[in-house]
Amino acid sequence: MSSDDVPANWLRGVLEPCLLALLADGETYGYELAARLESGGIGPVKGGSLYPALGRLEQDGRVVAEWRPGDGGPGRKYYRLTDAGRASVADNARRWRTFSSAVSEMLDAGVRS
Amino acid sequence: MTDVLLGAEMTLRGLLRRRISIAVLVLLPLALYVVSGDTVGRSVRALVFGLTWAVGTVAFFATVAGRELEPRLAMAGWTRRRLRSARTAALLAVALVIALGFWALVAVDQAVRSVPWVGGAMLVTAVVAVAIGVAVGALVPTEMEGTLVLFFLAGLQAVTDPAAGWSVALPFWSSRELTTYAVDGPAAASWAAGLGHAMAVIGAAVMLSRAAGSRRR
Amino acid sequence: MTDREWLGQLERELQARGVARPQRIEALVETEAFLADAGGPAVDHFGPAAAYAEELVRAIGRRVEPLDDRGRDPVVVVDGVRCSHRGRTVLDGVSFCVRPGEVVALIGANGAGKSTLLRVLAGLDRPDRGSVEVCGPVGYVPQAGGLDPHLRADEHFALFGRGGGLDRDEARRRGRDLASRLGWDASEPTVAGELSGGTRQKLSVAAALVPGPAVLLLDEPYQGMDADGMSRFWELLWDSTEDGVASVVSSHHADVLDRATTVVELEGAP
Repeated sequence: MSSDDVPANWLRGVLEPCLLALLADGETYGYELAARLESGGIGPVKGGSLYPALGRLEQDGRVVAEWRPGDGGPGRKYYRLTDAGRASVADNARRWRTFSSAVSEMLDAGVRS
Repeated sequence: MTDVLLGAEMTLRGLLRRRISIAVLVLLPLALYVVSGDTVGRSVRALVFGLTWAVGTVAFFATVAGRELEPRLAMAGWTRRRLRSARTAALLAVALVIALGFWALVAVDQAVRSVPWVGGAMLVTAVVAVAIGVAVGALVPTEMEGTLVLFFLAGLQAVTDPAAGWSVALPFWSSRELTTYAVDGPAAASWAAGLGHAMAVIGAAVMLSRAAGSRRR
Repeated sequence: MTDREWLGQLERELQARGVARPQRIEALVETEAFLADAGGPAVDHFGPAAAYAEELVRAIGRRVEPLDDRGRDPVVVVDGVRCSHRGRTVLDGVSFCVRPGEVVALIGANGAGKSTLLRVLAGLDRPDRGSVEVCGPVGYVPQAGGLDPHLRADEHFALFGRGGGLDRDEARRRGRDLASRLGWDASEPTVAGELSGGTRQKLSVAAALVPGPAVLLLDEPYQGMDADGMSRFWELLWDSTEDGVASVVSSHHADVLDRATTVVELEGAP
């Protein structure tokens, strides 16, 4: 599936769970998350969608952010999961499996009709 | 200690900016001195009256100027004691300078019985005037009224017959007594009574000022 | 539009939406870092600056971060305060508390008791009943006055600064910086009594902030300031809030309602 085909409102729905899942690997910064989303076939995610999503995750307490001094530059904000965030990664994976198989069934049924 | 020095410096800066007021305060007593003629006693007494009023009014002005500022400084971390000490130190310094100036004038211009005692009388007068001026600043709401009160107190002292028993109740009685002692000698006045009265008045004035300050709070 | 221009517009849009300076700077730096990695025009990655600012504000909000876990106890506690003035009850049973970084807006008609409550908080008046507890140095800015009319700005800064343990030069530097953020060059030698009303208030606000108070009590402190001065004043206030200062501000102005943590409405007792 070409990434150009991903409708924007689908991306909006899965962005937060995907970010959480990526962060389960370890802490990282915004651009890296966007790059990994895209190489994983989810995206491209514009910066304009990425940072508000990260901000919401911070608000919810599922992610915390920390500034790290950069070499020469002003530094980067690194994000990592909180315990609540880590718990929701497994939760999201489980719920998505159920949901996506339901969606697949419905969409396939539409094709068959 | 440096706090007190800073506060005293600022009080002085504020006072010295009011050049017209300072000039009037110094020149008016001089004018009275000149106008009183040649009688030693009269002219020295006129000068001391002028000194009383000048120092008292300067002390009053300084207290009023800081009235709105000082509570805010207290909130910012100054203790009331340091604020008081700073203002008092500055005022005493000003009072000393004015008193020395007038004393030098008398020493040069008049043939007084005892030059040192005239200086002593002026010094005590100046300190009493600072205490009274600060107390008036704490008690009286406006600058106009305060100036009038001080003029009234000093003037009353000047014109009252010292033989009248009730004149002892006036706050500046000590300055009159000590000046008379300096000019006319121990037969006419008692330095101990003068000094004692001065200390009592200073103590009362200080207590009144503090009471007025804490009443507001 | 160049990226520089886009970023400039982003900052203005964030400011217009009430985002305080530290958060604006964070957002800008992060955005710039992303653009440095991603290349390409900002508007392709983020869209129009205004829309992005709107998104960010909705997501991030204007919440205030506590400085550390320890700093969450209230620094101002008002409990059942009652005040009368010449037989008339001015305040009756007012209670609230303020934590570091919070803003309490005091609103109410003239004569409702706003100034009285602030004076009580400042320790200038005592309530008839109830108690008030304030922890930490206080910066009190009255509606007018509060200065020595014969002293200059620098001299006021030195005095206020000393209360907070600052030496003269540091206090002057801080005071002038605060004043310039309010739009006034405090190095002029004019004494406070000869400043215009609005400028005098700017001096009053700057001086109160010099010693770094923990609590700010402001009684319609922008009296006499023009529109530019007022918006600079609010920005300075919100920045102090970001630094953990607890504020109680009395105001008629709508700006205070937008960003207050608590609103206390005083109705003058009949």
